[in-house]
Amino acid sequence: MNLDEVLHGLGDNPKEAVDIEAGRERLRAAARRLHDDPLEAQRIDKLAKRIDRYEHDYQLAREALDRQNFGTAERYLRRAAQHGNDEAAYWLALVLQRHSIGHRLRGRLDKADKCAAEARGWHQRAEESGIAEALEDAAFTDIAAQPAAHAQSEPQGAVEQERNRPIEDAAAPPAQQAPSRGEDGYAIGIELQPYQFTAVLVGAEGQILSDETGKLPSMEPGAVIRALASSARNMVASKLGREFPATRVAFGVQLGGPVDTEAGTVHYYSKHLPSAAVKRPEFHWESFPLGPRLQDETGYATAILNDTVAFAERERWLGVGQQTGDFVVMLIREGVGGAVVSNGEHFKGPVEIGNFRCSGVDDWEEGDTHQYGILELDGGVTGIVRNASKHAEHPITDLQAAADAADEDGPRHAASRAFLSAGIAIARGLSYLVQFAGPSHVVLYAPEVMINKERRGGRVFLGQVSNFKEAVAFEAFRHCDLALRPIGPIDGAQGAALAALNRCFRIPPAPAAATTTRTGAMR
Amino acid sequence: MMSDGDSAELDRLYREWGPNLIKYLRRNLQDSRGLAEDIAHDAFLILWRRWPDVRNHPCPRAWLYTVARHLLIDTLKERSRVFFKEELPDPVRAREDDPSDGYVLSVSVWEAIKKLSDRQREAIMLFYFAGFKQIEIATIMNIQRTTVAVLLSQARRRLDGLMGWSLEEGQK
Repeated sequence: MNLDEVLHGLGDNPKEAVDIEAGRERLRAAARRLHDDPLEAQRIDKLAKRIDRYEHDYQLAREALDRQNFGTAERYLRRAAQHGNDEAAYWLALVLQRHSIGHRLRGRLDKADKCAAEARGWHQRAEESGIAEALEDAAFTDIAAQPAAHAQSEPQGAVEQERNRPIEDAAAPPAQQAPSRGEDGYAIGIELQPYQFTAVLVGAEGQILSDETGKLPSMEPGAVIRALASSARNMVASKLGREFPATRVAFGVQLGGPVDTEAGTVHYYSKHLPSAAVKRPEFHWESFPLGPRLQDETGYATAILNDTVAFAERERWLGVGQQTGDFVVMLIREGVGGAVVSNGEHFKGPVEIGNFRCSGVDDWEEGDTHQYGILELDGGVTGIVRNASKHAEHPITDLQAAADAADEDGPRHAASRAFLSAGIAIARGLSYLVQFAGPSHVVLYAPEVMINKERRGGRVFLGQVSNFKEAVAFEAFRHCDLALRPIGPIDGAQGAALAALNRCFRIPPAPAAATTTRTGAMR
Repeated sequence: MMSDGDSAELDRLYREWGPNLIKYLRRNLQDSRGLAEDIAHDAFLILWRRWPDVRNHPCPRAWLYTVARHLLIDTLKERSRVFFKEELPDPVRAREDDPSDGYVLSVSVWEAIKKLSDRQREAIMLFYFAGFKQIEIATIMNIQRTTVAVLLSQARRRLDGLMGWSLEEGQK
């Protein structure tokens, strides 16, 4: 009897017997519960998603190491190591040692010491687990070239052909379209608005490589698809080259309406710019498969998003998401949108906060969705402009003009009452979101003029918004911080691109330290 | 949703793979039997949800172990237990229960296995007890295949030294 035989025999310890029949009965009951109870199905799906992420972290780290992209590698290695992967801990220690040297050469001794200390910690773990010794031995041993000493002792029935099957990505579902090993991924993000769009191209770490804006002469879906696809292709060609493979580009498009992100379908899109100066034909999209159509046109894996979700994704990468996994976002544009991030993940429901009815008075104005008395009729830009005209008794065509009128000392300053109503509506909406999600942070994206305290409209608006916690019933949920963000010209497109990286290539947001060097970081 | 045929297949897979998976989990959970079964069941439920994809996987059993191992790590982290500190059979009691040569031999092997590093021990368990190939162990442990090969090689050398065994000559 040799060691192999003894070890094989140890697996059959009668003391470890398992009651298989009882287990089968329990599994059948669990399977029935999974079928009947949506919450149980949700729990299992969440576990499965988390495992997908664990699996990808180390794979992506190794790809980044292959490319010598040490910043990205560090991010994924840390996540893998924190989950118990000692091989990742070993490589992380080396990457941190490298960073430490860089800091020391630049005279940043504190940072150098910090990196070195962390490196020692990870290396110690790799040593204690036995992985460090194995990796260091492997460096001097060409295992593949050895005579088949180990192969001979493979368990009975091993078939050479099967042994060599590539199964590195065991727990991951089949990838949609992902960059191959050792290749960088890129994403185009587009913010689609009525008759115009903004596009950005970002790299795998979310850094902005280029951006552009374009006009849309028509909102007819076919024309929009051609224009967006053409813009995306041109950006890729001019920055990455004409022959750049489509499999390495993800495409995110966001717009101000409810969407089915899984299917890439736009449920409803019919917003109008509040401009009387440039009248455009009305448009109305319903159940339109924008994602599949764009993917067919470009060959890029495509994600379709609600606009507020894209802004929330931007927060996840570059904003409060660096401090917390529980936050809500409200976005003020022509209408008002909401998004909830809970435990680091987007809430899947529509969060159509702008369409919450907040009055029983049915003779109120009608919104784009033909609903009366809804929040965005006061809180959205279209509503503010309309209300400002009414109060000032003077035609006002856009938000800037409304703010200018509110600043005046004459009778037109009554336009400021439109900002007051907007503040009340938005505070109400924020309180709804807080009582729904219990976040630690609330982020409000609004046109700059609405949150500018130098302007009367801004002061009036913020005076009401800052009271939102008073409408939160329970003290326990009032402990959340409000962050105000003026909407920048490419923020929405950047959010769409980051979401595309995450959803199409499973690239997660970077930890805080890595974001400080990015273009487009938070103001 | 799976069909009745798929349910029957799941049941077959559980009968075939369940006992060894539960043993693997028990060894890592310091013999928390109920918890090991809970984790195994969650792993099978995930397998069930993903079955349309996983059935075409080159090694669905390795996929299942990969999932179970991740669930195990999460569980151990939540309970602040050290990962893969095995609860191996008590040598004294084993000797009293059955003082035959075979058992004393087994006990000395267990004692030697206990002295391996965590990952060497895990590789040994997956290779000898669960019957996985090196490339499948690499998948399950989410490490490179060469690392698995070296871990096994080191573990066998160490066991050899600890027990006074020789691979070529058999028992000394």
